[in-house]
Amino acid sequence: MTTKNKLLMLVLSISFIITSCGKDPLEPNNLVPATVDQDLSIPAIEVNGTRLHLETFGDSTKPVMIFLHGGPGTGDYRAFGRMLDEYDGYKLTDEYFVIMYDQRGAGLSRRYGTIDEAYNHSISELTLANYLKDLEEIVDHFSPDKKVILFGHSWGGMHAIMYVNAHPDKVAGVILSEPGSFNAKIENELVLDIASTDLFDEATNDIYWNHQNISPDDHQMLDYSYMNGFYNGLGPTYYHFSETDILPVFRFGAIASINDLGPDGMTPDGTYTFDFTTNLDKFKTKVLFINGDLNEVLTPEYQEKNRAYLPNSEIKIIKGVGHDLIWIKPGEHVKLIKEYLDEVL
Amino acid sequence: MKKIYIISILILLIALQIRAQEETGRSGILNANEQSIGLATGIDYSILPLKLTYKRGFNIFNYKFPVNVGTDITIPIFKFDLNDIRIRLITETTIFRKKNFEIRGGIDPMFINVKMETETMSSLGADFHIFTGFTNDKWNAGLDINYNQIFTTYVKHTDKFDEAVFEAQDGWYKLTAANIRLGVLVNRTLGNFDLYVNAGISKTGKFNDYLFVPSMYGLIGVNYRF
Repeated sequence: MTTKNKLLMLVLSISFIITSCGKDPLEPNNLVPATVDQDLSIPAIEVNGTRLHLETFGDSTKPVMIFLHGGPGTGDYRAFGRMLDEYDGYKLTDEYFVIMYDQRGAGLSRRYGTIDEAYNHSISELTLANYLKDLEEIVDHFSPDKKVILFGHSWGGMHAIMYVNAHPDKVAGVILSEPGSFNAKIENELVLDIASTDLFDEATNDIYWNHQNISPDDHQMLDYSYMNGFYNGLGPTYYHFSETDILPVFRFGAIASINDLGPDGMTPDGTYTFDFTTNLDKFKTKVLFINGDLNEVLTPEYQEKNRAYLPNSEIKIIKGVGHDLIWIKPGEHVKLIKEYLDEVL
Repeated sequence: MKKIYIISILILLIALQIRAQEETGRSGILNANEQSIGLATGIDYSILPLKLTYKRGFNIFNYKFPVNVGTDITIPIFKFDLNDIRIRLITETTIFRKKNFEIRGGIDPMFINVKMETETMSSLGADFHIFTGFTNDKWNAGLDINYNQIFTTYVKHTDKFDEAVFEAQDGWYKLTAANIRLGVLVNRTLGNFDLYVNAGISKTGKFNDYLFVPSMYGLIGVNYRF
């Protein structure tokens, strides 16, 4: 064998040894947790042709309270974990049957779509109609005959209002913690105020650089890369998340986040078209808004635009907290929820 | 990390000792016995990184064209530190030449490190690159295709990641990344200087767009021959 061939054999052998060793990055629970499709022991429900990560807490004979997390894709129900704790001798499960679930494409629920489809907001499974249908079937499953209570944070607040708009007669009470916009008119004005990614930022450059180490091709790697971005400084600063008590997730849903409201909520170029206010005047029950005072975008003043569609509403301000108020100030939330529900139920 | 730097410097010193033999006189590639140092910046998995290059031309195995061997070190310059770094051992030679048409290529073993608040990653991989186009003693211009494959990556997560998400598995992971670049390369030789522009699209190995950042690259640089 010539020296050249020996060298070639050596290079090939080393390459083979290197690539044979090491864990598979796509294997569940290596870099990201398994989803309900990858681990059937995770609590889940089958609704509307999908499989969602869902848990219930408390006595099923009590009134049903459903929690809707933020996003789409950038949050899941782990963020509500502290709201199940006891505060001043009171727990929500003392009076309510609490249901928390990860929306499709988020948390540990089923994944859909590709990054190219997501950039065009065109994923046919991740639509407003499907987000609504999932919730409708969950309500029908757990509370077919009685009205439910909805709690929504951020996009979850929009989700709650979408349901109220569709079924004003099925909702006994609504609590909205820093909700997003109720219709495209408000949201499109809001978008103009939000800064886009800063290419000259250290965090952006770290994420760019890391594309050499991690290719965001599969849902596992996409979600992992997204988490890296979010927790390394690409999370929006105007929301004023705590840097010491970090808002946790089970797992980000990168595709759901980029897809945003999907093809029935926005155009491929990102202009919003949704409207959850067409039937809101049918809902007469008082609605509770909760807001922090640090958020620079979803401010109490901004919420007045949403509240214009719900004249029978009240807003409570929690001091010294940003958009992670559900995680940082859970006790205050539980207290406000109890006071509100004692009044409207 | 220190070991990697020391090994890179040793390879550089060894490369300097290998005897070069022949000259060919083409723009963008060193003749045997020529050396160059250079710097470049632009968009290269970072905005305005600093890329430093050293190359030398050799005759190896009596191959009829000179083989360029060297190293380049690229550092993102935002919040400058050596935890974010890429070191490549670069090789390039002419594979085919007919008059002014030429195909050049090479395989560049590389080490990439990134340190973030949630984890540190250290990767070993290789760049496979092909240039095809027009060349003479003053110019070379043509298509540049580059495929890089990471063979193995060591990932070490921080407490922040464990608390915010879950206790991900630290350790070695195989085949975590691949990227493909399709672009143009234009080089102009002026005296002892090679000025070049290299730009195009940059996608994942499965030809998907990047997350958050533009799927493109673009470098402008200069090499000094001596």
